[in-house]
Amino acid sequence: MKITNVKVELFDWKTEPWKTNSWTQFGNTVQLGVVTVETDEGVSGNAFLGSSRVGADHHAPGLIEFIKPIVMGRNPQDIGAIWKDLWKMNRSVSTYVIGAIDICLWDINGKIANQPIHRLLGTCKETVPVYSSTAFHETKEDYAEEALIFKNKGWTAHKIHPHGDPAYDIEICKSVRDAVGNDMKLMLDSMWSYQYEDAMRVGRAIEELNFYWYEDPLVEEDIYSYKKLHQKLDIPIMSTEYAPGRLYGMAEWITEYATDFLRGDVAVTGGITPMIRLANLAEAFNMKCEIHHGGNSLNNVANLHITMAVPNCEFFEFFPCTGANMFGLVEDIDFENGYVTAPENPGLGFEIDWKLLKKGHTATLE
Amino acid sequence: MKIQNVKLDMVEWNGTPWKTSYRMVFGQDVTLGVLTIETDEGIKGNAFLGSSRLGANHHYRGLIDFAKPFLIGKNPQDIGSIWKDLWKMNRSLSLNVIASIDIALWDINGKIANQPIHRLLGTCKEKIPVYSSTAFHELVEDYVEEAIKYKELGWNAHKIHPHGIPEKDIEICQKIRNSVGNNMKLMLDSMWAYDYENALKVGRAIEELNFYWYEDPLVEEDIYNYKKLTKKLDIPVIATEYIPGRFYGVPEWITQNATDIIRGDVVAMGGITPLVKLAHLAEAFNMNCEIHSGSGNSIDNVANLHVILSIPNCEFYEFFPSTGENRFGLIEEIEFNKGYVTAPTKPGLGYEIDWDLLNKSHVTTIE
Repeated sequence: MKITNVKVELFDWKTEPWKTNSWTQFGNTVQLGVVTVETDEGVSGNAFLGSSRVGADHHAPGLIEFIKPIVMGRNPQDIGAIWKDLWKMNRSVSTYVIGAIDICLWDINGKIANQPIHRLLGTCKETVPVYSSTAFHETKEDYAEEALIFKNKGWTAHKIHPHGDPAYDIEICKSVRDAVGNDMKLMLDSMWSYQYEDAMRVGRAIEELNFYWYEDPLVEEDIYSYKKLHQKLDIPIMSTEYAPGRLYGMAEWITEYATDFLRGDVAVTGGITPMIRLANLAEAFNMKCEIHHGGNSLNNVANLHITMAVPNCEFFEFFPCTGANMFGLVEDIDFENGYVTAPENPGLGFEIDWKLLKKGHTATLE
Repeated sequence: MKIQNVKLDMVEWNGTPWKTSYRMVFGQDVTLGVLTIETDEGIKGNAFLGSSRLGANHHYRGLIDFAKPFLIGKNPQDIGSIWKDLWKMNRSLSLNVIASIDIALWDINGKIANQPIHRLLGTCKEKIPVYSSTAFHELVEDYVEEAIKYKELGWNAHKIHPHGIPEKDIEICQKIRNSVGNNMKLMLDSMWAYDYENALKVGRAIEELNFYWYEDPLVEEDIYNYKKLTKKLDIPVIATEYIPGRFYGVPEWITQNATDIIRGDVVAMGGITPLVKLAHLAEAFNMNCEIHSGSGNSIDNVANLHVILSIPNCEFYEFFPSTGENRFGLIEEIEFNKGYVTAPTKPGLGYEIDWDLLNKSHVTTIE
């Protein structure tokens, strides 16, 4: 079997604007890319490219110019070999592009096998709990209100994206803890916003509030201070999908004791292939690898397959913010009762809503 | 899909004895176990249990008493979760048992998908060079003769299992290097034989002889001295498939810089599942994970081959051309074409069991 074509179709993706902090805007109208890898035997694979923050038009030129010539004519089932070559292109293309191609190949592999991708990799579980991951809200009362919505729905875990202002972030955490009581697992994702001293203060405060993990308190380049922070705090630190070097950068974070959990997703880490390796690396150290949301619907599906195929990911992350990054599938992942279940259809196993997408078709790049 | 039955057919496996050291004899008459995992949808998976050193009769009780009741009724495709539970039983079950169950489940998974196992895992290569791994020979001349034989067959890498006596081992290495010239890659596997001082001496000697790697110079419990040795020597140290704790013990060896290359096989790690994880661990540190051969049987070799092809960081396939070669019970065996092996193309493990042959020496069926 040989790859005979790679194309990216671009579509308008319109959602209500929403933010994860006061300056990072998601939503509005962006371009969603649908990547298709075609083969000479009729089987094709798909992935979505772009998030509601950075559209596919930012990534597609590199995919067509640099990546397409590398994969044309190759056996789409040589996924490991192709990923290795794509990874070496990461100075020319984004990890989103590498991830999208890798996902297409896994989709093909699953379709050939007539199996969902997690089955190919040796399924570890068939259901995991979801946590609700907040958007940015203006007031601590808004945060408390949102948390209560999910508590009342029976969800068991909730993650806060606060303002990045240490004193007010503590206020937000207190207000949410007060509102939901002690039974709900709460996590704080400070999104790389503090310096060491503030990170310590916030960390101690959320230890007092019985938080479950403390995510990305410091910038991702600052392994030096992560190490200090990790030495002091009892609450598990989780950093970060954006660690320089991605999979290949995490070894140092482990050996230096700079984090308690590993973190990654198919878009930022660059595909299903490196995500499985990342989780297995963590597993060797009896560490968790919590999978980060993927930025678009099909990336989240790919994340879901990995979550089911590894033994050490506890939760599926879900953004119930406006739009929820859900767009372009006939049926999206179901979060009923705060759990997700393993996909059962071959490949990625979720059908693309071409009818919907075609209403906003803007370009096809081949 | 559900697991309906787990059974073990015991057959006699008669070989010609051969040794890897003075005291380790392989290839006597042992019992080979053929494990069959049956499902309610008719698909079955197989693995072999036992090696030509330690027959299936040493392992089967744990399989039947502890593993079987646990497996019945489980979905055979839940391989990751089943492995994790089996691993927790490693105080009651040998790793051989855990490995053979895991291999049989991967066989089922490949058959369901109608794909060879390496394809399920994302193939990294379709061809890999082989090295010839020697048995024990009484005479230095016999080592030399064997190395020349493979050189002339066009193979380009050769590994020595010496006597475990430092002076003698250096002599064996010198004579082989002199006879095959500088183009053949040579490795030394001292099989946990030395203390630190001698390990350093032998290491320096084979550095001089331009050896490619230095395997298992010290006992596997001695991480302290492995660390000293790895710090001193230029030649890559590779140790060992027998690290205490196996997959979960290897991180300490990496963080302590106690070895340069990781080592494992399906039997020593307890299956395809942990061996893939082990290779991924090594990959995250940009280290190679060279897959070991020789602790098992023909199907173990096939399972190793699938793993090798599905990971990016294993350079060689290890082959024991010694008497017996641990080969028994398959209609066709792995082929070595001009010093290379190629990827299996049939579903599951992809090698057919020679039931006609095995039935001739069938001893009993245990269910």
